[in-house]
Amino acid sequence: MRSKHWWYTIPLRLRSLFRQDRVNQELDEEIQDHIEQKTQELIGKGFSPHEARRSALVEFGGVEQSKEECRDTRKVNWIQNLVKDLRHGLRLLRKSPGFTVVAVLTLALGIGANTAIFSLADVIIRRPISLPQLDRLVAVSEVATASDDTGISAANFRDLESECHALSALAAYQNVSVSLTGQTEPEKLNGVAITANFFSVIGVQPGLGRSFLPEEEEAGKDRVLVLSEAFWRQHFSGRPDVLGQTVFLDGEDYKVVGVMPPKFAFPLGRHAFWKPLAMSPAERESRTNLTLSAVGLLAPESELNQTRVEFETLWTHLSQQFPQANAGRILRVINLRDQVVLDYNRQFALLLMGVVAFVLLIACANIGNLQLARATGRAREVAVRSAMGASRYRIAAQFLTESVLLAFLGGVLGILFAVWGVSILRSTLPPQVEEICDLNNLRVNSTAILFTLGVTLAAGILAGIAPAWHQTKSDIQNSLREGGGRVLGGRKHMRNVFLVGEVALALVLLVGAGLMIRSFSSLAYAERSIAPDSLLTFHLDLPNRYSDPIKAKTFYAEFLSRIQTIPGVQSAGLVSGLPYSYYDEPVSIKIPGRTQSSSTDLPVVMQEAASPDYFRTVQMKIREGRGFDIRDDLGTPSVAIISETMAQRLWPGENPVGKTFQIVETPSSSPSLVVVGVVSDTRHEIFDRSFRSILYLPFQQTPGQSMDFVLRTTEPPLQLLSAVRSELRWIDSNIAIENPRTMTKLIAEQTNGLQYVASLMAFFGGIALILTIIGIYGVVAQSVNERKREIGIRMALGAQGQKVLAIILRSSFSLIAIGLAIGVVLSLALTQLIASLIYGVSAWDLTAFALVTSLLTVVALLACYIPARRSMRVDPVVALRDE
Amino acid sequence: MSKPSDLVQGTLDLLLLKILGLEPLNGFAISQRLKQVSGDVLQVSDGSLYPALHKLEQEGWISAKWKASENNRRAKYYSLTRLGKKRLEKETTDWNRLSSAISRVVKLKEA
Repeated sequence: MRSKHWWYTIPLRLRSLFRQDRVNQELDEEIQDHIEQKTQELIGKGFSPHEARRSALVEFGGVEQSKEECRDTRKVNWIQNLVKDLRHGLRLLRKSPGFTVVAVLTLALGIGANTAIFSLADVIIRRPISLPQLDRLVAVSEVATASDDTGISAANFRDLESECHALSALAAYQNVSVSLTGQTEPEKLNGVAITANFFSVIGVQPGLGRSFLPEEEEAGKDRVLVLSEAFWRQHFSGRPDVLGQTVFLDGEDYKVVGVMPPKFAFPLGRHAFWKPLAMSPAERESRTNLTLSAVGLLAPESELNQTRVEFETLWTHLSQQFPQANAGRILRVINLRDQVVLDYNRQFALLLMGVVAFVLLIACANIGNLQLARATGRAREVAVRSAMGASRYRIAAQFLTESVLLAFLGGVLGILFAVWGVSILRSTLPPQVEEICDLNNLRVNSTAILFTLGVTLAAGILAGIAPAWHQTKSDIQNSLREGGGRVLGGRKHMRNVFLVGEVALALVLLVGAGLMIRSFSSLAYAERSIAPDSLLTFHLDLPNRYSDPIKAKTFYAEFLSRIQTIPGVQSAGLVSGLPYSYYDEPVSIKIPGRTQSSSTDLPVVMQEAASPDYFRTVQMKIREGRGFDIRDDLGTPSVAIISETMAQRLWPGENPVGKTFQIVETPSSSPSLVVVGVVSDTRHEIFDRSFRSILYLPFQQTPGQSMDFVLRTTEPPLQLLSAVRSELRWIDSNIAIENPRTMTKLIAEQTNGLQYVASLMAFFGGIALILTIIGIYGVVAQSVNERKREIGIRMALGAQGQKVLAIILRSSFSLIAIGLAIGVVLSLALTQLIASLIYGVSAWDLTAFALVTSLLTVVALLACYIPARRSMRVDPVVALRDE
Repeated sequence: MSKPSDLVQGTLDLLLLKILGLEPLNGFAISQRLKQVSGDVLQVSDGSLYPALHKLEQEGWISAKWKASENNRRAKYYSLTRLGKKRLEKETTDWNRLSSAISRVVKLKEA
């Protein structure tokens, strides 16, 4: 009814606001008319015209005064109402500083947290990359449908680049990893090899010097570098004469020709340099190795959709021309931003936003309750206003305005808190986050402030709805009566709703936090059985001069035998990619005698090269057949060891030892491989939900250019690092040991992000818990206060203190129980939403639920008990006397 | 002529709403009608009539229209709205309750 009321009078109010002159004139007319009529009446009664008029005026009373009063009633339109309410509200807030400070601070913390997390989510989801023309940039990639492998092959890139018209330019890039040499200790660096048009495509040019020329894309002419600003500052102290200086990478000299501007981060991650992409003729012709990434700039008249269409046509042509090479892959053209934002990251960001929203809801419930209590104290003021003509809705609007005013104050302070929170985030976020977004974008910007405004308004309305709503129901008579002793039922009801709501929300939050913590710890301690603390791991990337397999194999064999002589080393092994090291190498398997419908249906497994001692070092067991040994070498029959899962998958129910198969991707006439052993499964990625099919080849037969090493040590692993380094230096002093760390650290680094999220959730969960405790305490204390008379009566009738306590506690407990029950049901529903983010435990993990519920119950009961105890100390005489 | 100063603002509203509920009138006619029906007991001073009317209009309980009156001039006629009718019902109920309570007390005989 209230909204109809307002709607109805809007034209009237608008008129009073905007056409004041007209309205005033009408008022004049109206009153003049009345006086005219009165005059006529008196003339009819025999007065003279002059006397009649005078009499009529006298009878009217003060005409001007009346007009003023009319204008006053009109002046009561909503804008002026609002201003009046705001001023009144401010005055009231000033009068009760305690309440104001507590409420504003609470709201500020809640709103600030929401804004800070919003800014983070905004960067992760909407602005992970900051490039000037981001909307016009597209990522072009081939996707292998079977293995999900993504990238673009060099030959396809060249063809697509020359043929497409929808793009004004297409550039390619590739991550490279080199050693910075020429110092005492080589240092591993990450860089990017790019085509010459790369910087023009993405729209950022070097701040110092120049970018690359097309002719520098040739091997031999590619010894030029553009440095990152960070590298320049670190290694050249930011000196302007860096141009022309030499940098040694992998033992080869490169000339610095440019430096990128600060805060440039594309591709995402910390890169030290950009160099021209120079490929050997063989590499250039490859149409099957998806080694490159491509980014293109839309031509001014093109849009994404027509670009997609054009590329589809081009791809169909290419597939017809090269059916074997391009088989099983599709072309994908998407906006560059979409390539970076993974579902996974988006979900985590949204989860965090949900968490802080819950915290704010709980805070609003507390403040709503506080305001409700205050409203009761102002009942008399309200009654007088109402008796003087203010409608209930006006008074309710006033309460709402006060609440929004409170929220607004909280919001302003909250923005300050948010800025502070964002800077804390920036300094504490684990480095993995830089792989998914550019943290330079993380700040409280105008979008965040708009968000804050919205949240503030919502919070104010939420917190103010209870006292406002209650107001529309209250009975004036009751409030005017002395003391207003009777409990207004509506208020108690609302309070209970708040209590139940808070407990439920807190439970959901804490369950979420508990699940995240369990998830993290189950992953972090995943490999305890292999004693990761005594495993030293590191990585080597062999420079180009080891591209001959014999040279590589010899190097590895010699290195391995040398480090095995280091005292303290129990065993040493190498493998293409250790578990939890982001390694992947999908290959397709062809088993003779089995028919497949198409080449895309071949089973895909992961290929690794390994040394004989590798399995022993990481405590993997040989289940069937044998492990690798020195027999397996270049020239001897090609052998393979497969994981249990792969055996089960490809030769179910049989013993695979002795079976043969082929790897499709091997360039030369793919030799048949013989299975000589089956090894136990090992989890490869920390987020894998099942074991992968892994295929191991002896490193002597397929030595790769990049290997992980793992050593089991009797002493603390890192202490042996210098010994390992000196052995390496003895063989080749220009190779750097990368990422030396214990296996524990390796695993921990994969779980860094998850750990951070779990900590954040625990932090907010703790805040929610504190707020809920305060809320429960307040509600029970109020309840005890209100029931003083009842308690007094009971005690006067002989009830012991304990009995009274029990009565109070029983009603509070039942409320809490309801809250917990609702919370559990909500949790069961909501945790299913985030099930994909939880690892190692189910979304309905009993331990987490049980622990959290018990914690909350105990804490809530304590929060009830303490104010309830006060009920025991009620003096019946005082209570009964106190009306 | 006694000024009905004891009339609380709320009661005046009730009277005005009731009168306008019977037929639309302009300000002068309302004050005439009130005097007439109550036998001159209830009289509203013209000075407080118009503010009360305007306030009722602002609340949406009565609406106003300018009509041509007898002597060829415009007059502002007020009439009851649907919202106003509801308000009238409520006020009437409240009034009846209050007045019967007072009557009961007044009727008490001496013990």
